[in-house]
Amino acid sequence: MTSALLEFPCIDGVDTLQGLRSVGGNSAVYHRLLLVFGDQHEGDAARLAALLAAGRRVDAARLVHKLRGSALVLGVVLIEGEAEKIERGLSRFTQVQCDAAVEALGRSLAAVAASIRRVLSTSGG
Amino acid sequence: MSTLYLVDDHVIVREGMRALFEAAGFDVIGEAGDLAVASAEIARLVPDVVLLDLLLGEHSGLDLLRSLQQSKSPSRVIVLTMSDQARYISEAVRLGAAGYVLKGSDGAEVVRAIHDVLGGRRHFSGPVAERLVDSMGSPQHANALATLSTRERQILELVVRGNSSAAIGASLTLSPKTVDTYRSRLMAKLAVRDLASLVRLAVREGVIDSDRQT
Repeated sequence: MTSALLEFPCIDGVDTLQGLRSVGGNSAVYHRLLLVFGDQHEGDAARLAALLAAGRRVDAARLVHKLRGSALVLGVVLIEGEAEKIERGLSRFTQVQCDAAVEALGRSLAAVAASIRRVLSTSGG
Repeated sequence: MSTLYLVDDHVIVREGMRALFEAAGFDVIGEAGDLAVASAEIARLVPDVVLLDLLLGEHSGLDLLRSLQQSKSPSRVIVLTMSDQARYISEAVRLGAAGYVLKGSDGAEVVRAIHDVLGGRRHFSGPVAERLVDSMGSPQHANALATLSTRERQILELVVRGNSSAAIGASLTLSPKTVDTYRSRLMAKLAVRDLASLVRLAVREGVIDSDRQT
């Protein structure tokens, strides 16, 4: 576990210590799941915006909850924080606040996904 | 080797948990993202411990807990969820959960929880235990909440979050009139007469937080 922690590369917005602990220190699995996270969730802000525009708040809440769960387990703290903010505020945010939060989430998701791909594609897993 | 079964609708979460548990020496004999598959496989495989998320898309893991309790399943269940609301915790305990751990807990704590329940003990992570104790202060409404059906609880949550009958109907594939019927029935069960009282009760009993939703 200790050597896995020392060897795993740093990624902006990701607490790799927390993430590795969540998967029992298995750096190969963690490496793969982070890439899957980036691929699967990068478009979540756009999907969320579409659901909210269609008035489908329950589905929007589910999507944010799922994003937050994956981020929490993998230590993607930047996204976990943004998703939690939206999850908390979904029922009371004004439209402007909601749009701003979703836009911020979109920027963070793009940055984290790019960071994950950039760092892990050169680290070899 | 002790056997585990994972129920969570996040594939990434299931894969992460599997890695954690296999590294800790457990045998993960199955996993599912939906209740029907989980229910059938748990009955067939009889794992020692089931790790169960509560929010499974449109369904609740509490339904699986209820069905395992009714079938007197020997498998012990640890709820592993992001939901730290008193209502979920007390309901899970009432339905026989042997443990309740919050997602995001250190992997070592989840492994400890499994060892505890395998040893015949219960395991509640720190914040969960606090919520559980707090919820014991208002047993009357907690008991009334426990009489609500899964659908009534689902509609209660959506109503107190400000959703209209039409919006609830659209998301649950029910007519607005049916939603109204559910709403009247659950308000009668909870002995509240108006929406404001319903919201106050929901916040007080942890169905929703005053500043957040599940």
